[in-house]
Amino acid sequence: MILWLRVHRAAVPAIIVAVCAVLSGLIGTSRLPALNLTGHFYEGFPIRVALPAIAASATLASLATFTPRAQRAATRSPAALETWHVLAFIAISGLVAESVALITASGDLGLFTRNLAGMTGAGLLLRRHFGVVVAAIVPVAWGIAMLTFGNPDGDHLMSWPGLPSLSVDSLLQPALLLVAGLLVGTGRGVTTRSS
Amino acid sequence: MSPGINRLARLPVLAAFVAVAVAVFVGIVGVYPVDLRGVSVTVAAMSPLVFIVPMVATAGVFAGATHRAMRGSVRAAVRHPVQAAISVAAAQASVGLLGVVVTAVIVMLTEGAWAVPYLPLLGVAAVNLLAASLIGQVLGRFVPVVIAAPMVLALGYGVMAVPPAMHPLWLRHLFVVGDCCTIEQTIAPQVLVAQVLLWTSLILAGVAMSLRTVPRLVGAFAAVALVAVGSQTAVAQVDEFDWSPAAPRAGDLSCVESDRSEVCVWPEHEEALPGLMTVADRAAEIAVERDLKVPATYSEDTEAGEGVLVTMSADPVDLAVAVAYAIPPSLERCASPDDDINSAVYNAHALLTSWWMEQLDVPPEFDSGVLWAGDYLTEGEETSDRIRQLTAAVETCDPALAPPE
Repeated sequence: MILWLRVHRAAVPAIIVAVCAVLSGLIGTSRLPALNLTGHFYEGFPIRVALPAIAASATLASLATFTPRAQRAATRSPAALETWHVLAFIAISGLVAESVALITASGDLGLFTRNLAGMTGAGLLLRRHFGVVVAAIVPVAWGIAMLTFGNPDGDHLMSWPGLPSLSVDSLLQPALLLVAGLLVGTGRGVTTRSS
Repeated sequence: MSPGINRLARLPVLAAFVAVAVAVFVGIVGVYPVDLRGVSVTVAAMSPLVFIVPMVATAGVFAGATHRAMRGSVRAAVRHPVQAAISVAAAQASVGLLGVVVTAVIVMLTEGAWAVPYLPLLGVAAVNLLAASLIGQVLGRFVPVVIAAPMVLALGYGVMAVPPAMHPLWLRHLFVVGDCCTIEQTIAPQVLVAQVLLWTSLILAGVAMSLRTVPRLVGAFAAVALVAVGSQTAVAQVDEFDWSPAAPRAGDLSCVESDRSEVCVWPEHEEALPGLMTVADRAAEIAVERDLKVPATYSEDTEAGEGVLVTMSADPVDLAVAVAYAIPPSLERCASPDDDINSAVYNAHALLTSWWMEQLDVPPEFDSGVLWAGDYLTEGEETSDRIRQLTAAVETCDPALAPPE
């Protein structure tokens, strides 16, 4: 009930995440032309990198929605509440994105969910000390750095959002980021409100 | 209001991020001007704007959020909101512009040459940054900062990075000057006018949205109308442009003349003129001795057709190489519509260049073809006859006259 109250208050971020999920299923494999700054994305950058970054930002932004004091008081564990909140966003939007991708047979199954989970985790890692606004910026900043400097054929950490396959590396890194982010960036002591 | 947001709206924080963007660009991407003129250095120095503009816009969002938080306070009532927004935008734009200037200075330091930055381009960058900050502030005032900040960061990067790689081609010139110009070119004024119009319309839209006396809906409508008119007018300026934002360079060439030849260079290469004249006279002497044809005029203006010089430095060897390349007839006329050139004709041109380099005392290590040219030209027929035959092959684009491959 409390989870539902939190999620339905985050209507705008939820709509952004839903739109990104549907678009990712429909056009995630197509590419957007962009300045070829380091020569790695010769054919423009893949939309499957950009959309999950925006969705992750919106997921993190949803954590900043106003929670009535009574609800907070009624919550024994804010960390668990926020963890379920983040996981619900990732699971539902991932389900939507992968279902649409499956129906349209556009390929790259699992990429949206993987990237959304990893980038949300990356944002959560900074939330405790820098607040939710900086946390919400992190996925977009990571996306920009990835699009500008990342090498989708490389194996360095920042490249996993661009990796096309469901290799162990490309799954392990975002999974670790999400788990670490949830452990560090949720619960008491973190900045939940932006203004 | 989280104290973090106040901190992020501060100029030193923005300056730190701009410095990181400049360092990343200079260190990782690399900033390489086409040549060392002020316009080329400035175009190269503008490349970090792809990061700086989104950063300034995001800083604008934080400033807008701060204004919103101060709404109703005595301090907020003292200053007019437009005045406050413009002063913040001017400060943030100055920090962003400083990043461009610092990049220009770093480029000049690494290249070891100093030139006055191209001020019209810096002016366009300033207007661009002002618009970014103002639009950020407007969004920061009306949209929760946690949504507006990432959105503006993504949009700012999208606007600066995506259109310059898109079709139609004129779209590439509407937001940023990415690649310009060869030595006989400069940036077309229409491109600068189009960008100023576009960014100014966004500035006016930001001002319209900041007016306290105008109802919010009216302000929004006026902002949309201003941007629509501004962008349409801007598009009209550049819709006939292709890949290049360049226009022929205005200004006079500096020329010197002797009994045998004339050499003309752009003013920034004037120091190379005496050396070029000496080499050109030497080439003319050789031509007279061997009854060969050399251009009467060497010029850096590529419109000249023949005798086109590409001067890299005032070093005597570089000057001799420049003249050696300028003597053979241009290969351009031999190119097919697909830009292919018959390999035999191409070889003839390479042989001629190598031979002239040897005659003008260019050390062999500067041209790997020198030995090959020497061997071929001293076999059998008289050397001058072969030079004339090679020249004819390039002039007529006839592979039959060229040496066998």
